[in-house]
Amino acid sequence: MNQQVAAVPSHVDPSRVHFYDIQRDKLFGEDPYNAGFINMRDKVPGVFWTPANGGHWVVQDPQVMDKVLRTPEFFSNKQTSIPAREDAPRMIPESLDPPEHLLYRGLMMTYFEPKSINKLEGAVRERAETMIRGMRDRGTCEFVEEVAGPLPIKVFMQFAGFPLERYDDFRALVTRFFGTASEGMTEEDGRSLGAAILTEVAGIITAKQADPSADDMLSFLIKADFQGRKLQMDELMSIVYLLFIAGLDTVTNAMSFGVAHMARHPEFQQELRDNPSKIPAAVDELLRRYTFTHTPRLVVKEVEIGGVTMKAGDMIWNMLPMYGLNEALNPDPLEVKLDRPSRVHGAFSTGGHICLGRHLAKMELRLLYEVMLRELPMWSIDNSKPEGKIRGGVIMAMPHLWLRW
Amino acid sequence: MPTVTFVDFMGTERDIEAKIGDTLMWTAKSNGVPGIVGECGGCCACGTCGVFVDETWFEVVGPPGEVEATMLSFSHAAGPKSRLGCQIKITEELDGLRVRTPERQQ
Repeated sequence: MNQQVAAVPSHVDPSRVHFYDIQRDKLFGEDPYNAGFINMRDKVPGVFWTPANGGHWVVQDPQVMDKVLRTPEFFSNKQTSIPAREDAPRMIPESLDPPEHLLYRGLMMTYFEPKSINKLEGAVRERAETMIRGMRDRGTCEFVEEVAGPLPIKVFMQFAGFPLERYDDFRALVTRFFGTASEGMTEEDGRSLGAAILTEVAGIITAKQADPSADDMLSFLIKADFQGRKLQMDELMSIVYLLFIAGLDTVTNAMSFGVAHMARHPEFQQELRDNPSKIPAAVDELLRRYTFTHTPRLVVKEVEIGGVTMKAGDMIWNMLPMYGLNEALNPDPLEVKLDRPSRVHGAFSTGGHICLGRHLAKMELRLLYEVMLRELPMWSIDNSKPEGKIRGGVIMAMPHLWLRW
Repeated sequence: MPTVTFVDFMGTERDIEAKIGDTLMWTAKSNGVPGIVGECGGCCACGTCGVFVDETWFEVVGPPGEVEATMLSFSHAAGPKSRLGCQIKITEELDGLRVRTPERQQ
């Protein structure tokens, strides 16, 4: 079911062509972090062209990715869908290039810097404790549905000022949105989901505008002074749409990959139980080992890079997982080690669009691991339940993860 | 090559030979100068490469731009004579530049 397989354009050398379906490639179902990605790293050029999904570049060489992600003059965020979608909703600041991008980013950073994030710690820990203690005596859980889904989403909804009672609706929309392409839904389904999210977003903003007195990000944005004026409805819509997309599915998957690793490696889990002070290092190390994010870019000017010529209009798929799996950046990259002298990963990307929510994400991961390791006995994978196959796409995901203890 | 002096929060001085065309952030990072993070890689987007510029040198490097000033406000190196290292390009003119780095950026 490889949709939109395109002819290879004449500026692409045949030696640089390798078929890779970013959404539905079979490697996703076959342990990509131990097999598929490793094979690709070792056997496929660092920059290659895939004819799948309309045809686009794939960059897996970290040095080339650094250049792509840090040179917006050539590699733009105006289009971040593959295949390109002209009607994709604009996301502020994600879809913008400098200098406009940085003005919005600067405004939002107030709410995302460690100083602001640290204030949430107590509330996050309390939520995590309530959830984990609630399942302790049961001896089993479906981790994604019961913990990794609800915890970060509820934290984020509260932080952003979204109505918490709508949790179930929001989670369903986001799960379907990210699953669209890899689960065989059509482009039309994607469009109608995007529209459904925008309708929700408009509703959230309108309600908030009536009373922006709470201490949450949306109230702040409604009242904020931006370039000597207030933000307009279309700007608020774009920002909230981005928060909705970026804030509600990413930490979920980081938690699932991390907790699954602990389930499969009891010796590692024990090391953390014996040394809780190593948990912050574990957060970064697991993000490195299981980076699941990708960042597309649009080429806006012809450029020679990584031994190829890219033309204006070409799309690039940056394989962020390849930073963490790079031997030179992280010796023995397949090993999960807490005492690495240095550690480089791309989980939050790099360059001007480096993840704004990274401090929040890391804090949530740290607190969840702390609470689980303290409150639950050693957990492992529940093999009596179906195994969750990894889903491809811009945010790789684990649809479910059965644990027992 | 111009020489730049980094003074860390403990008062330790490091004289670094800087490459023309590099940024001050990169000069620090590639020479192991502590207190400079540069998370975003020089895109003026994270505010983690702030430095205090020596009084006498501030006029030479000039004040921060609008976006840079916003980003700087999130750094522990925020101050009236501060700049982001990624926004200062090394030139011949900066031979002898002296900056102080903070204990941490955030």
